[in-house]
Amino acid sequence: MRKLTVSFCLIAIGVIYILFRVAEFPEHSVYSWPHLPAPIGKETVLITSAGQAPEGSVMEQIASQLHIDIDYRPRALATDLYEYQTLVFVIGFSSTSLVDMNRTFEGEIARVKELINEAKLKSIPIILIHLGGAGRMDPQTVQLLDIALPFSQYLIGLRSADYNGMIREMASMHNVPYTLVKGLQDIKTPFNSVFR
Amino acid sequence: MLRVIGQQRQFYFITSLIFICIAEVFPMLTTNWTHFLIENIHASILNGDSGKLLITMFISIGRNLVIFFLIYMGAMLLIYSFIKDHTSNIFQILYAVAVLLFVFLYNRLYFEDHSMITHLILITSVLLLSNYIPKQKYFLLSYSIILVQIILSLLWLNLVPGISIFGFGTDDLSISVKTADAFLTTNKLLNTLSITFFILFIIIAAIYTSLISMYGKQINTLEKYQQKERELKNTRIALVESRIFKEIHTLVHDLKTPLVSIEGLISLMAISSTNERFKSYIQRIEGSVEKIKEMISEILYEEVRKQISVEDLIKYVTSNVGLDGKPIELQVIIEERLPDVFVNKIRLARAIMNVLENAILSIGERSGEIQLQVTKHTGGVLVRIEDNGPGIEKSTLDHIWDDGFSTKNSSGIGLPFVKKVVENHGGWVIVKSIPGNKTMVDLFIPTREVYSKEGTV
Repeated sequence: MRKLTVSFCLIAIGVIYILFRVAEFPEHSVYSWPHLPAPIGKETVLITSAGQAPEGSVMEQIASQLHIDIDYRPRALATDLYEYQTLVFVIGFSSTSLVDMNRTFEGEIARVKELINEAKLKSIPIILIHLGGAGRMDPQTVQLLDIALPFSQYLIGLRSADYNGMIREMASMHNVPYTLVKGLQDIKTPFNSVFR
Repeated sequence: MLRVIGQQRQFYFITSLIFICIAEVFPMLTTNWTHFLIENIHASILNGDSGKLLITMFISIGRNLVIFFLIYMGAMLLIYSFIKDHTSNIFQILYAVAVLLFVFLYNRLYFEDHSMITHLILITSVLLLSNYIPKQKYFLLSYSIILVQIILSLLWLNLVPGISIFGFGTDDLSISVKTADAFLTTNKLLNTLSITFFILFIIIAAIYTSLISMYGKQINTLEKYQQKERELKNTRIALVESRIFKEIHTLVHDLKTPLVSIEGLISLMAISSTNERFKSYIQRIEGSVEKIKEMISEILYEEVRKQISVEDLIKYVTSNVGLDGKPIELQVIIEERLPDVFVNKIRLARAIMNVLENAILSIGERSGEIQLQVTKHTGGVLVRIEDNGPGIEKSTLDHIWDDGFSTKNSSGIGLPFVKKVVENHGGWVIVKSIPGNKTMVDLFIPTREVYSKEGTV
């Protein structure tokens, strides 16, 4: 028994951790908007990344499949907003991508804030998309959500990302309507409802 | 021995630091690798290419395997350099703390979010299985192999999409791969592949551990058998020696019988003869018979001692040692005015002859020198036999007093006999050697007064 004491303790810690995690799950089913009741955005759409996660490329493909007139520019600046009618942020912090592009997180935050300010000035609606699921709820991604949510008109995400109710709480706090879908392909309907 | 242990621990400590440093700076050293992975993920999404995503998955797992192997192995060597018993509670606790610390440091350095629950399970699995690795020659190699298998299995577990909500696979590349797969195949590819590989590697790790454990037990059993065999062999040798000794004892004892007849007949001849020359011959024969009787007593009874000068003893030794025409020079140096010794002449002479014969044997057919020097030493005399032969290796020197040990296919009872005889006289014997240069054997024999006072020296 002595040989396995530490292993059993670690197993116990792991089980407690998972139980705590499960305890965070919401007590009742999540009811979110299935889609917007009326469009709030117009084409041409600028899709940009907030955090440089690869989910931006996924969103580009989904939007193309919906035949929405979009430009995917992951590192778009505030000055690029002049020709677009809707701004879509695909939120997700990717340290690997940032390092690969020689960028810093602080630089990314500054870029996002400038884009938001420019969109506010031009009265361009901001749509937030979170496709990373439960794994993409690290502190940096939550920080980006926190920066963008107060100025957003709609949030679309995966249900798995909201395993602890944080997204709903944040969206409700800023009165932002949100749609949480089960799978990635289910994003199409709510995203389409932004424009049509 | 202490220096060797110290050097080994230093080696483990330095290696552990190197491993941990390389692990922590690995992403900085492999930016091309990282760039390739990011590009591939984007390309697989843009082109709808799940094959490319699969390759990216494998490469990403390979990258993480290198990083975490270095962290885990580094932590293991670090703790191992201080605590040898890897199954002890303190080792396991320190190991767990060290690994979690280094993973935390890595997360902080690169703003990563490697799942702590995954590492908790990894550490638990490693500690559990390592309990069954035998503490033998290839312990670290076995440990490394098991570690690789367990890390691989848990890295695949990180890619199972369904368990992300429990905190698994929260690092950047895992999430990116899972998201891309969700888009391309609705997670069908990842679910199948990752669960399959997770189970496969866990089973391989478990099987390998049980094989190693069984092999270790077999080795232990074999070692025990070998030990028992050695003990049996030693017992047989002792039995044979004892039988031989008894036979010789009886034979030598039986020599006395014809000597008695010779003595009796010589006495009669002395009485019956009037020839003076004849009578002197009879006296000399009586003297020789007396000497033979004394020699027989000394052979039969080791406690029989007589006072004898060192010169006489050495003369007796050198007259019975044959060089057999070999080109070996035997130099005898005896210090003047040495005290007499009180010894069993036959046995002690036999012991010194044994040492001389060993020296002659070690020089072999080439030319050489043997010096036999007798000097005064506190409480007695020191007999030093030095030769310029090939010397004795340190590993052999540790075993020369073992019964049956021999490097020349002999019985191996010579040197133990020498030690026994000298120690029975209250003395000591030391062998020193410089391999490739010379060998020196010192035999100390106490004088009668010292031996009588102290019993032994």
